[in-house]
Amino acid sequence: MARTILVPLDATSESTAVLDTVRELARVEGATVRLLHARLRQRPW
Amino acid sequence: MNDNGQVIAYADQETDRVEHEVTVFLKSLLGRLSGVRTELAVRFGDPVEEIVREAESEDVELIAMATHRRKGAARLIAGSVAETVERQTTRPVLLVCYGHAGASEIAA
Repeated sequence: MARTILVPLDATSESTAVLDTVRELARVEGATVRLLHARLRQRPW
Repeated sequence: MNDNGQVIAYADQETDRVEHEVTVFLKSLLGRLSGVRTELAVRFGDPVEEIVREAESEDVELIAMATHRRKGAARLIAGSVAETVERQTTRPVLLVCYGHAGASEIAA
């Protein structure tokens, strides 16, 4: 099974600071990058 | 529902709207990952629990996250999601400290 690097992001520019490092790592390792955003479910009321 | 009892949006509509916005945000980042296979995932729930659950998928070999690495009292008051995930997951974690060029560490 292909290797996957999980990259949790919180929708801020700061959280994306990891992407350059991840890109180089994924290229070297031939890995898939899975970008994940997780948040509490918002209620509209 | 607002204060007058009027329905503004149903929960599933709100979830769809948020999921769409987040997906647009994630797609906007794909240019920074050119030449690499990518997948996008949006999960609703406690962020730490969702990240740890996703990380336990058998194909995930590394978690990579940015962190601010607060110190002292600030760390006690507001520990980051990244550091909490680091403590709870069995997967290796790569933390990249933003605001500190080149600073990173790997925790098993």
